[in-house]
Amino acid sequence: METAQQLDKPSLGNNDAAKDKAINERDAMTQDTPYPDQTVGQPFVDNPKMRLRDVEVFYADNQAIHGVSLDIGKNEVVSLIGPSGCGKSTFLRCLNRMNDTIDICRVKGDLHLEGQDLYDPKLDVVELRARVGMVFQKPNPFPKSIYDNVAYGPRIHGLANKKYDLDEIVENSLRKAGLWDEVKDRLHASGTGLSGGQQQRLCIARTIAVSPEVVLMDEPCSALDPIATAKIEELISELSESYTIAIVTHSMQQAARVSHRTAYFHLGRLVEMNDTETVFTKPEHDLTEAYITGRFG
Amino acid sequence: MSETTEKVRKTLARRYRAEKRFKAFGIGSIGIGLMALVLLFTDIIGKGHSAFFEYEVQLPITFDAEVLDVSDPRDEDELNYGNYQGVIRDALAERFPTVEGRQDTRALNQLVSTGAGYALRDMLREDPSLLGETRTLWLLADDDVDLFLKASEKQREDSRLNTKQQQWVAELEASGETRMVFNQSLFSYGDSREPEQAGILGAILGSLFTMIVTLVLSFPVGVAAAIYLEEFAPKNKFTDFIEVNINNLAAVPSIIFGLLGLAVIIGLFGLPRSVPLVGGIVLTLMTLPTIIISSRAAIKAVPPSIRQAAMGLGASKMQVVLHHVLPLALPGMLTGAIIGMAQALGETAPLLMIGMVAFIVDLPAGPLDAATVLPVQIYLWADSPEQSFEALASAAIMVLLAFLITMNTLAVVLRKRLERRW
Amino acid sequence: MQTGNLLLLLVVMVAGAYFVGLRRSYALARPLGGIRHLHSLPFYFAMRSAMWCAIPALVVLGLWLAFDDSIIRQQVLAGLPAELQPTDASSYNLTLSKIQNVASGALPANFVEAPIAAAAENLQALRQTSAMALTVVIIVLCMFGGAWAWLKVSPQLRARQQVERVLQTLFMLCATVAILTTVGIVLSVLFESIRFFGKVPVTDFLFGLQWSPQTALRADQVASGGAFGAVPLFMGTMLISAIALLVAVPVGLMSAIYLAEYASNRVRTVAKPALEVLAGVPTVVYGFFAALTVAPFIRGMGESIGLDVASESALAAGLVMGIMIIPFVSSLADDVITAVPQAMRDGSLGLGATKSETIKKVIFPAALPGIMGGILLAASRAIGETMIVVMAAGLAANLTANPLEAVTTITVQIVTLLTGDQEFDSAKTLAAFALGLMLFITTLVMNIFALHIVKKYREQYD
Ligand SMILES: Nc1ncnc2c1ncn2[C@@H]1O[C@H](COP(=O)(O)OP(=O)(O)OP(=O)(O)O)[C@@H](O)[C@H]1O
Ligand SMILES: [Mg+2]
Repeated sequence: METAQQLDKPSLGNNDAAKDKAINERDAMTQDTPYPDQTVGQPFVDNPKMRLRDVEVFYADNQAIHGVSLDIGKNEVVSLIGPSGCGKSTFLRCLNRMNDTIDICRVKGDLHLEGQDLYDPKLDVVELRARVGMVFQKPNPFPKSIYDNVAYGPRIHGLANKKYDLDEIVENSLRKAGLWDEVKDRLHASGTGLSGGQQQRLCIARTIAVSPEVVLMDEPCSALDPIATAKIEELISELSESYTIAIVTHSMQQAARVSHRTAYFHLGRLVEMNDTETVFTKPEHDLTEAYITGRFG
Repeated sequence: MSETTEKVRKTLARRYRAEKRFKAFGIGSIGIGLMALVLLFTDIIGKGHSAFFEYEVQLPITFDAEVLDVSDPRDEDELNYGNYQGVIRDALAERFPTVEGRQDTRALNQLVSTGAGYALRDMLREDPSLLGETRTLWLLADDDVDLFLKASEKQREDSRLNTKQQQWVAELEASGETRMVFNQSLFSYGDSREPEQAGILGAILGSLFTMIVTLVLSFPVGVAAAIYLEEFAPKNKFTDFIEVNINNLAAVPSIIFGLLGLAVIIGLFGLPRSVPLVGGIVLTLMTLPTIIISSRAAIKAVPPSIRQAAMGLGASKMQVVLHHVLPLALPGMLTGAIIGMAQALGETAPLLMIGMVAFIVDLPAGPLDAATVLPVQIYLWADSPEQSFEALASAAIMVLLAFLITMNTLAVVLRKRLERRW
Repeated sequence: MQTGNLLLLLVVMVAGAYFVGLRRSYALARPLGGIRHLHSLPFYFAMRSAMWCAIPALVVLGLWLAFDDSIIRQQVLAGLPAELQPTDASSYNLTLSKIQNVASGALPANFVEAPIAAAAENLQALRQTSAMALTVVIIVLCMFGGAWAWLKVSPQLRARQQVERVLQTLFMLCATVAILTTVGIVLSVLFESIRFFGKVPVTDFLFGLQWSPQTALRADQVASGGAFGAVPLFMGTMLISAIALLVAVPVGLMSAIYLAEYASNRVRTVAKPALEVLAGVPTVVYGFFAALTVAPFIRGMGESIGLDVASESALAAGLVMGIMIIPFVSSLADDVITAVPQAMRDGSLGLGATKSETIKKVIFPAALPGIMGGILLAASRAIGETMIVVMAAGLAANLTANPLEAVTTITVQIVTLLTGDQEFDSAKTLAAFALGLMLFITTLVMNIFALHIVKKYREQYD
């Protein structure tokens, strides 16, 4: 039984003993530790920006999220961590209904943005997404000029009446994204011609150009080198002054550096959520501890 | 509520209207496409279904030896030169005794198809004892009579029959001396100047021979070329050039291939005009790119692991290809070939260039007999002034489409059935 | 011996060579202790023998059949007395067909001049000799080839390598058929065109405004040149193609967008194949539809609102051609649109754009190069399309941009000039090749350009 399971794991070449041990330990862990029925820590805050209760997500018949409840406070950076495939992206995409674009995806539960039910049939997704913007894992600038990329949101939403207003929005957004000085001389060059880090900052500028209230970021740095990552992290910290941010990350250091609170997901369940410091220094749950000490993930 | 939300909200109505409009355009476009399809099919079926039936008139025919000028029905020569029109004329005169005058008699005689005479001859050959007997027989009506009988009350006013003829036919119809039967000649004769005697068998045989030549030439060559390009060809300028050529040939207008056939195959190599062999060669050159491209895709779909497995056992490259890759890729290649053949079957323009438009009555017996093909026959009939040919052309289209649908369904089924999941 | 029988004989001899080769390799293997002591399997020794037997014979046979007729013809004509020697191309053809008819018995010998009858006999005799010689040569080649292969069989012989090399060469030759076809097309249209431009100046052809080749039968008219001005054909082709694209591009594009971005799975599985049926309908059927249904309908419509519409209006041909191209455009557009990465869509939707805004402002611009390539391919289709215009467009070379009038196109003229009775050399038939050259060059340039764009586009998102 045990060996069979090991064989099923894709081995990545070097099968040294340490790794074997880690795998064994992990398997033991996932088998022995019961799933928490209740999230440990403090997932709730007073007067939250987003109030999410009993969220369940299904891909066709496959349940990807099991009854997750948490709050996201105002002007707070919340990071979502957890092993691959545990449903972080899925959960994040519920928050501005990007899951609507996947035909087989169904969402249940109470999701509120300042008292507004996100899944209210009368609610307008366009409006919602203008309030809750999203930055994706891979930088995805449109094949347009830098200027047009940033101006895209304000244009479709009619946020600027005059060219002058639009210019201002573009400049402000690029400044906030820390990209202005690098691109101010080539605003009309293609956005796809920038470096990866610049592209991601462009995407952030594009998102904040709409002045959303919440910004969702799904592993925004995973495609970037350390220097670009550092810049984005700095940017996130700055942005947190005016925006509420939820960020998915695989880097524990990053979570520790940028976020106020951290949520640990495991196989579609929210295991633990608490102040970032608490989670990383005194995790309550064994699974959380195992993950942050790098025993699996 | 934030400023953004307010501004966004103001634009929403307009934006959703635009969204609806855009969607409506999409639905409309698909609607146009589907409507065109429905229109095309209903039009053709509407025009062509009547051609599958034809009218006959009943007449008491006396096989009078004197009128026929046949003394011994076993003598093939005499039989062939018999005056069958004469006995039909007599029978008509008997049926309508009041008709007089040369003009009217001629008009009366035009009611029966000239093809009816051949039917009488064949009857007499079958049964020589008929000579001297009288039989009540159903004879093929002339195409104008046929059209008249098929037409609705209102359409009958535009009939090409004159008023007297219309009266006679109406009389026959009223007394039950006309009947509608399945149009057998459609499937048993070649072309003819007389619509009621014209059939598509000649064209079908022509198409068949042409397709056989095309298949025999294009499939092996196409597969061999695909194997070479996928498995053996070194990556160099020459191979690139071949590839560019294949891609471009796939988009060259088909009529150009006709010019090639005319100038090279007929002009230079001296092959005869109008024959399925030349048609097949031209269509081969035309479908080859399709077959090569689909065969290459089929070869590409064979996973490298199979090649490596065979190679690991010490098989040579050629053995790997012939023993392992080819059998696995064959279903995909076959599907591609069928689709290529369907294309070739519907092709007309290049065949016009190489003279397959001749008026040919005889059924071709092989790929070296002058012949026409189904699409060209449709073209010829569509161009004919006589109205009955329009229905014949539609009927031929229905037959052609039936062949094409069968082939394409076969390709789909084959693909589904033989689809391999690696 | 007849070619068919000869081929049969060849097959028999090749099969013989195969078996002899097989037997010999087994015989060689036995004293050595089994076939594993041979370099290759006996099958390869046998195949090698068969190839040695077949290939030289087949090559000779092919060359012989391709050229013996023209050589014999030349010989026969050379044998004619001086006064009967053909002076130009048309009398050449006439004399030749006379001789051939006499030889085949279609024309009784006493109907023609005595030298012609003699030439016919000569022709018959030469043909017989040629056939005899061919038979002998083939048999000898087969025997020698087979024998040579038989003699060379030895345990060390690398038979498999040799067979495989021959096979691979054969495969390569098959692949070069594509090149040969292109070369054949280029040479055939080029040669005849050059001859045409020898009779009619290129400039007259390219810039002349008058096209009336049917009346240009007399030599002085040919020389006058006015009759071969192809501008009306170019204009007519463009007019009809433009109408077709005006129909096909929006409809095809919007269908593709709707099916790719909006339609539910159920709609897609029905509508997509249904639209593809349009692509499988032969063009002659569209021609029929255009000429007998659409054209009269448009004419009737025009009449009812007091418009004078030609019965072979450009509009009818263009409309139907447009319908034909719809699936072509939509499948190309579908490829291009689905190639735009999902990340693009997500980016736009994540900012709160509606679906149509995303399509219009992000996907469409991103897909534009690919779509342009597709449209270019569709245009080249329209320009080269023949049957619809042959059946539904006119023959009159009007220089007009009015879609309600009749115009003619390049392809229509090629067909009219080359069908029916024709002499191979007249300016009329040569003109068809010159038009073919124009058509080939235009579509080739468009295709290469379009394929290039589409390829570049694909690479961008790979
Ligand atoms: N479009 C989809 N269709 C079906 N199942 C999906 C889809 N997207 C995700 N899933 C499934 O939902 C589960 C959660 O996936 P999700 O992408 O949310 O994980 P994740 O935590 O973001 O992982 P990663 O860290 O690798 O990005 C997985 O089991 C995955 O297979
Ligand atoms: Mg993820």
